[in-house]
Amino acid sequence: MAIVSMNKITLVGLNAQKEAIFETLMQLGVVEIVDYSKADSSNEWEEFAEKDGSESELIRTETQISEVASALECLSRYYSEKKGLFASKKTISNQDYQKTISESSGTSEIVKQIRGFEEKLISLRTEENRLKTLQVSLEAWKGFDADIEKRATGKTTTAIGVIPATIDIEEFQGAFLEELEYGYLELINSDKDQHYIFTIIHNQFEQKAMELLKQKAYSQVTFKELKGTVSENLQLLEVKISHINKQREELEKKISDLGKHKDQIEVFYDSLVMLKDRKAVLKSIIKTRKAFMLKGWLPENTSEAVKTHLSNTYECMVDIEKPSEDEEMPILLDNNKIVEAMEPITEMYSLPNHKEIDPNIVTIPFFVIFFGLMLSDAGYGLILAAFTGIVLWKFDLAEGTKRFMKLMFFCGLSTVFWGAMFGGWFGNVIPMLDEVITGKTVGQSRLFGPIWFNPIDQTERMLRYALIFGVIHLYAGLAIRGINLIKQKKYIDVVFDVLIWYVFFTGFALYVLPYVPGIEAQEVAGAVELGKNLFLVGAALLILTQGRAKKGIIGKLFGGISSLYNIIGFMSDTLSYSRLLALGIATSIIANIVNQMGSMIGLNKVHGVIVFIIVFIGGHMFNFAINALGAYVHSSRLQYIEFFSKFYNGGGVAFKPLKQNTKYIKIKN
Amino acid sequence: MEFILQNLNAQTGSFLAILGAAFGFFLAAMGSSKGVGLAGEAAAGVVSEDPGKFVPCMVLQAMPSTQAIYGFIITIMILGKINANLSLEHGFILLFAALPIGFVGFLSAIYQGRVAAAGINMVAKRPEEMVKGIILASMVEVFAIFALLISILLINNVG
Repeated sequence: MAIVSMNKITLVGLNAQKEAIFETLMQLGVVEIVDYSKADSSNEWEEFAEKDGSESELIRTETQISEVASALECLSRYYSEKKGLFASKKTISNQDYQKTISESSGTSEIVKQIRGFEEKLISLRTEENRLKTLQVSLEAWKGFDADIEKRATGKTTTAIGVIPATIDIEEFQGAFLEELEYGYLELINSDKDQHYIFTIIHNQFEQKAMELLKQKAYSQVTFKELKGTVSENLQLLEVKISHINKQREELEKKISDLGKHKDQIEVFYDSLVMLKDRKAVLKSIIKTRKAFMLKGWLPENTSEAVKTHLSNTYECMVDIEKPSEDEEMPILLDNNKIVEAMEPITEMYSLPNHKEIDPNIVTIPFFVIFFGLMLSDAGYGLILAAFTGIVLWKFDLAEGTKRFMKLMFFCGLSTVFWGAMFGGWFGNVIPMLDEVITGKTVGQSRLFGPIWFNPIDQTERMLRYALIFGVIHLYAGLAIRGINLIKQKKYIDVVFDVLIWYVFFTGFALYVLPYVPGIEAQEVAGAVELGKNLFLVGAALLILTQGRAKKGIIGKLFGGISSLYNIIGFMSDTLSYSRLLALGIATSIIANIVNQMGSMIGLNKVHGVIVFIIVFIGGHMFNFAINALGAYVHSSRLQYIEFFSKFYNGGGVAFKPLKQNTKYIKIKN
Repeated sequence: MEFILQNLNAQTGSFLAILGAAFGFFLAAMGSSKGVGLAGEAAAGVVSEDPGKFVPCMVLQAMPSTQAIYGFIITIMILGKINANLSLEHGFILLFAALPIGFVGFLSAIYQGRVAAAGINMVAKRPEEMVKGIILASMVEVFAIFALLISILLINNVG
């Protein structure tokens, strides 16, 4: 069985050893701790125990984690190091890990330093922004050569200000000077928004002057804290900004110098995350003054080993029991090295629940075959298989990436197979080059022609096979429904819900054979007759049986008749597999078009060959990318919509053991 | 009269086929333009917040472009069938063969673009759910695939 069966564990230990026990559990990484109040709903425990876990401690650790994370992010911005294509975790031994942890006060000091530098950088940036804004607003007054601050003699006041650009400044200047004795107005500068003016006004006429100015939406401008002329101030600003830049460079240098501690900080980060996980799980256990108790799940095959290890190492009591039949348990899948590649795709839909079988072993061959049929070019398949093969071989990948790469490797092999069957090697490039070299029209290549047939020439034949693949896939789905029913010991339902449907669908499929393109009605007359009989028998049986859960004779009959509607679903499900053909020949046709376009200039000239190579590489890369994505998505969809709907309920909850959930390191024991 | 009709036939066949070839591509490509454009606007919004999400956004944005490719395939296939003595009947067949991918491609690309844009917004909040966004968008794609298939089957009626 691919779903691992689980046992329940109950552990009672001393508070004094709690830390150590949880660290061991985390190292073992096979026990999922469940919320005690959910595992034991009797609430009797409330009389002698209370829930453990402290929210404030958890929050303190979380704050620390986010501080370290921000320091690491800051480091990565100013300290560049070589990174591989696929990041892999560093493996360190337990001793090294313990040693690094014992130095953690030093590490947190470094983290504090980095954060201090970063804060300074931020305040420098704010200061720089402020100065730059000031610089921009001063720039407009550049032509003004008197002192910038407001001056007042005994009798006059000077001021600077702006009025909107929509106002005719010359006319206003004339009017202003005319109306006011002892008034002075000078235009310093104009841009598309406003006019910048300088005024000297006699105190006696101040009110009148202000009235005039207000009419033109004048607003006074003051530069607080500035003394001297505009150009002096601008020079000063230049100096200040360049000083800030220098300071910033120094700080960045300091941060990047701390980059050598990056590994250490990463270990610190991971240790904090693990600490947080251990603290978070405390919420699920209960404690008294001296002891604590936890309940959880663990895989059956590890039960004994965990029990002996724990009870030998610590003063504690470990109890293992089998769950009852109906009890919902967390789902852990255990498949061999090939089938596990399929797990992420299935998990994206849903995990199986504990009453079902794990569908991965049936899903993977169909997924891989359908992918190959849809990409259907041996050249592309070779590239895909070679690329993923090398990545798998050369890199130490994270588990999820590794499985995906493995799946793509199988899909690549399948694509090579189907490509060879249909004669597609980068489209028709081989017969094309053959023609160029030999100067003869050869049609199909002598070496790499289709082993089976070419779907572009025989579309209807390929459509037939696509639909047959579909029927096989759907029948496999029905078969798994049968297996699930057997697993649940509902043997009668196997007959009613699986076998009768086989009869009904087979009858229908045979009956409609003449409508499939490329089939002569006379040739299949016998099959049609048989199909008609099977179809009618099946329909009669379905009417009799499918309403059996309903009440009353009319309800039963109605349930039976309405179940016949499923034939529509079966038909549309089957037709859905015609995409195998459509996407398959789409790849081939685009590949052929790429080759054709590349050879337009002619392969007997040098620049023709160069153009061909460029178009060949670019065009096929594009075609590969778009069709590989299509093949992946539609192969998934055929599983999700057509296949899983036949049998799969899903809804399983993943097994989440307490384990070392690290980001940067892997601790080896 | 008969002479005129016969002469007309010979050229009208090719004329209709070329009309079909043009229809198949420009309708589907117009749809794709709109669809990719819609998704692209959403993608730019998301990337402006988080440049790291460029790749998943781009993949989703590219999804409605397949309709134009299908239109392109049909156009090339029809052009391959055109020769000097294409009959009027075959001309009509090729014209009508282009319509499924033309019209279905046009509409499905626009709607796929909307789904892709929604998927891109989903990626903004939950980058790990990108594949689900792709699958949702590919649900719309199915109809374009069927249309491509029907168009190919129709073209194959012309020997």
